[in-house]
Amino acid sequence: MTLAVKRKESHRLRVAADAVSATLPPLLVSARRIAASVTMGSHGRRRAGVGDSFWQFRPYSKDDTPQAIDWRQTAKFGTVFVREREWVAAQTAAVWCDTSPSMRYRSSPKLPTKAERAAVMMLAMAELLIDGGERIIRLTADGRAQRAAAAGRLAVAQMADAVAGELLADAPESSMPSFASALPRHATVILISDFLAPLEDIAAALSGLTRQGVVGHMVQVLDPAEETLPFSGRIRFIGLEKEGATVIDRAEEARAAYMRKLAAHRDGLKAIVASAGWSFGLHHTDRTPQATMAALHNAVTSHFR
Amino acid sequence: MLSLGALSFAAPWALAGALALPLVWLVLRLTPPSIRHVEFPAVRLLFGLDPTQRTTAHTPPWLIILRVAILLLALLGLADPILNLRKTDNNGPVIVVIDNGWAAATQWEKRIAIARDILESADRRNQPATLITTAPASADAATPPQMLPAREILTQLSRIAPRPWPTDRAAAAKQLSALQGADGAAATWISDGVESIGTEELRATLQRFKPVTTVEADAANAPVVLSPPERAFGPGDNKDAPRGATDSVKIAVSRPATSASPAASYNVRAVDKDSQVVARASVDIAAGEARGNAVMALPAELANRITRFDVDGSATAAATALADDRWQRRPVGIASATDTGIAAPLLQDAYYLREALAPFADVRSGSLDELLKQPLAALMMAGGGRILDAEAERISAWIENGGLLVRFAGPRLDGNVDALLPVRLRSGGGRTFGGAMSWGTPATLAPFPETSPFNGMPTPEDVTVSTQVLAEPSSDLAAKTWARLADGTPLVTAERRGQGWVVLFHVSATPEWSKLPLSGIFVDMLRRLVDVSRGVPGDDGNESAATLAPYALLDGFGHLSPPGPTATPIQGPAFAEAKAAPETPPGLYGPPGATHALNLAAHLPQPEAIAGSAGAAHLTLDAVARERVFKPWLLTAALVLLIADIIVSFFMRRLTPRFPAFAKAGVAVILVLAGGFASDLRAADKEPVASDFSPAILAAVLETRLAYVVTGTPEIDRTAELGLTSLTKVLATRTAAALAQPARVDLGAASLSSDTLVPYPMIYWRITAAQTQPSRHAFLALTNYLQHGGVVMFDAPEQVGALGGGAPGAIREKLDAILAGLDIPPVTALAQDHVLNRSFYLLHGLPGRYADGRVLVVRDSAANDAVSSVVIGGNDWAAAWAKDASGLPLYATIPGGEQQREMAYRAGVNLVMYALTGSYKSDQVHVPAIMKRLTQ
Repeated sequence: MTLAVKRKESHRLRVAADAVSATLPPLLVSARRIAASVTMGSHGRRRAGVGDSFWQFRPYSKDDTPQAIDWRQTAKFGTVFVREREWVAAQTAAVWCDTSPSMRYRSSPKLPTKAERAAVMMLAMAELLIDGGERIIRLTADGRAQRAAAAGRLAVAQMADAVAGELLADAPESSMPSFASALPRHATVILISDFLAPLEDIAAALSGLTRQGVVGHMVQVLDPAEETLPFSGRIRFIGLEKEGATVIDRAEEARAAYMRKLAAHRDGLKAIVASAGWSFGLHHTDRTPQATMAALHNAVTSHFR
Repeated sequence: MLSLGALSFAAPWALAGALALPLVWLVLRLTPPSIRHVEFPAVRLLFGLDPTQRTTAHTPPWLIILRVAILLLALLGLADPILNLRKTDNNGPVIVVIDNGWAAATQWEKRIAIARDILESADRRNQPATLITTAPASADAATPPQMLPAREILTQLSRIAPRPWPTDRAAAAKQLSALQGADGAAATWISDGVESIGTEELRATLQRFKPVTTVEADAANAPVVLSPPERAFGPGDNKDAPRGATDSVKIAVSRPATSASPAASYNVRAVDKDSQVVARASVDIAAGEARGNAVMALPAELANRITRFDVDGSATAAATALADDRWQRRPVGIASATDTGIAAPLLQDAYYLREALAPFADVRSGSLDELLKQPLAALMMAGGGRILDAEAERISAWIENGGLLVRFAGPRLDGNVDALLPVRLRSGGGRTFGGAMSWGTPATLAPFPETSPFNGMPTPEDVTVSTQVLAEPSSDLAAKTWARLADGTPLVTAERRGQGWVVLFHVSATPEWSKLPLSGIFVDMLRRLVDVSRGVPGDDGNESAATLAPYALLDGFGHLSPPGPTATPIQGPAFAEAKAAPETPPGLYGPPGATHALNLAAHLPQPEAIAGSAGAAHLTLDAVARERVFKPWLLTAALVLLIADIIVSFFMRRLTPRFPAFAKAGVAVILVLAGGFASDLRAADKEPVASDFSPAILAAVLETRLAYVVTGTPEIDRTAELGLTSLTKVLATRTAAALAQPARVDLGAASLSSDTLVPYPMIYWRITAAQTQPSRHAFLALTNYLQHGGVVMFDAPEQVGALGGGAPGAIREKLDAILAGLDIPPVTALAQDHVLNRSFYLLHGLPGRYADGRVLVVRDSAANDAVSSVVIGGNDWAAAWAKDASGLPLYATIPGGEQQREMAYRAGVNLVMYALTGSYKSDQVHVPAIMKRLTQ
């Protein structure tokens, strides 16, 4: 490698590193802002603490260990009471956001790309879960767990780092990986993508998860242009993931048919989701993520209870 | 060649292209608009949407129409359509004869357009052509005409312009007959319609060619000639002359008349140097008549502003008459010694003179020195006073050359002060009649003598004279008198000196002595006097042998412009006979301020119309149908539409550049640059201003100090310095006047001027016998200093044994010699109640080293706040004041005693306070009386 090439490479790396460090704080900050606004919402914190909070007193049964007896209550009422605490075993949630080429799309420079929005939503969800004492696992672009389940603020920061790196790196080939890696039992999976792949692919990709019996939540992130097809005239539409291209002579006249097909696709998605007992959410990049996040948070925490 | 009515096509085959238009239409209709490429993630959902309406994707109809229009315009343009194509069988050479004398400037554009039309037509047919101009060219452009390709003749045509002189058709006829290769040529003569030399010859020569066309302006547009207007005094017999009109200007307009000439009215404008119309006159010429006259009546002030006359709407050199500086007001200077301020203008002589002269003269004020540097027709000297010898020589020379000096009597004109008076005056003050204590009544004026320039003016009854200066009786007094009082004593006398005059008014120019300056007759008298003057001396074209260089010249359209290289100067004596010609175009000649106008119309004969001739087709300028070529317009329109189409296409493809980003960057760059410049400017502001004042002047201006004149005798100078120094100390201890160290005044210094003297409130001048006489320059500076509020104390002790004495009486002689060089008003002995005796201390006399010397002050000083500008004495004050470094007096006082020295200091204090505060203390005399009244 000549000196010039080496210098060029090091320069590129430095620029990339700068870009990462520049995008990282906004990503985290916006994720935290969204998380804060969600937790401040109508559904307040139900439990005072995690793990060590009082749950209920219950009469002693012979299965209980003597150590579980609350002697003060026993003395007060004459009956032997056992102090039961809240079940402290933390849930594990696996989160995944799509960073494939089709997610890198935005119809206007004023909007974020779908991948950016999906990453922000994922990080915000992770933030909320960590705050709630849960453990999180990030699934990488190829569907494998990045590392063992982690807890704590540092885990969110590391996750943000990894997502930012993935967003800056070249996009992976296919949009739907097969989520084959083993997850903890009764884990929750949160998948954020545009889910524009063929329905069969999606069903196949999810089959690994549904077999494990995990509970899942799907959020479809779409650009407003994908919803309404705001084009007119003779246009050659080119896919971003090597799907091929097609020429539409009068895009304005194809709009109704397109919207019908999109609705049908979404119905198919909902059917897949419903058959697995999962929840489904929809988000558009021209809206604020708060509403979607609130619904998602509600769905996730209702599963935990 | 294809013709459709008046329209012809030079290249009709191009129209065949129109056959392809339906095909183009179809192709444009079917060609779908260009495809846009859009990346779209949900492309899978679009796969199934089969494009069922492929044929409906059309280009918008307006775009098709636009593109077909572009094609049509381009085809039409290539077909080269020409309107009014000249159909002629003649394919031989083309000759264009064009008149470009003064008369052709009317409708010049049309003449050129017709010539261009003919030549362009010849160019299209590849015919050779030639262009012959009839006005003689300037010396630089005299090339004989040749047959050349019409393209080259067209470039010649663009260079010709109408000339501001008459045509010479004989010369043109000669050129025409000498022309090679002109056989079988068609000739066109674009005539200006005015007869000139050789018209018949030209016409005869033109008969050689076939066909011959003559193009003329119609009779209503015939050129007019404005004769140079004549100015006369008095409003003339003009019935509707405006109020206040004192002058009349006779205006004559002529034109070449034929029986077909309609009645016309020409508007003649008089314009000043700022191109503002000063006056207008309407000249009516009846049908068939050739001349019309009018009189423009207007006030002299307005007439003086006129620099040119022209006929509205006729921009030719002959319809423009320039008025030169001889036409305009004469420059009159007012030199006034007492014109020092503006505090009391009604008491100043110069005010009345300026007001009286302003309506008809160019008034200039200033010192004699400044005025004599300028060209002047007359010089008014107000306020009396003598003329210094040095200036008298210059004024005499100026009068000999034709200048008019007008002097007025005044309190300072006492006796025969100098030689520049027309009669000998009796000294001892003027004669006063009709005062409060007199039985007599003020005198009135007698009718003006017949030899006087005032002859014919009505004798004013309201003018009375209460004071006058009297002339010594002499045999020629009556002949020299231009106006006298009822008792026969002269009021205005004059004497001829060389080519000029010296005139004396025996009264002042203020109303103190007479009511003359308040009367209207005063204005008329001054006006007659200025008329008597010969104008600016040495500037009369008839007698001066000086050459008059061209200053500004007229072009053919009557516009003034700086002279070109070919214009030659005119010898002064030959100017009157000079005619407008290529070497001497009309315009202004001579130096600025004394220009002479050479007008074309002055030497033009009455213009006559050319009689119609047989054998030639006659056309008027407007009747010629001009060929119009549409090719460039059509092709330009096609190009513009093409550009519009490109822009539209860009928009349709969304390829518009992102202007906002560029704009923001541009604004930022501009702001940064502007900021840089602004900081540069701020830096430039901080640079220190270089001072061009010498330290001595700065010191004199910043702190008040006394000054003494350097005599050249070291002992005297040291005494003066020490004396003023100890006086300054005494002033600082006893009074509020804290003065700085005294300054030296060296009268021999080159930098000496009144400006360097003015900062000193008082200059002490100890006269010595050995002193050198100051230069003329120094005298001028001192006189100026005295007239502007300065005080000089002359100290000339006559006692035997005085310092710097020499022979007895030597100091006195020196004093007289010095005072003779200065303009000093009459002096008198210091009175006991003079302010000088009581400005600080109440004193009886002003003793110095000697106590018996007389002190003289100005007799009645109305100027300078009644402060006497000179104090002349001989008490050797500085010697009495002088103390050495140890504080001991240097000289003993005579007759002696410290009492006298103390009185000498008090005299010094009074002198300085007098110089500093003026007559302020004289009011203090009345304080006891005022206080007494107030307490009652």
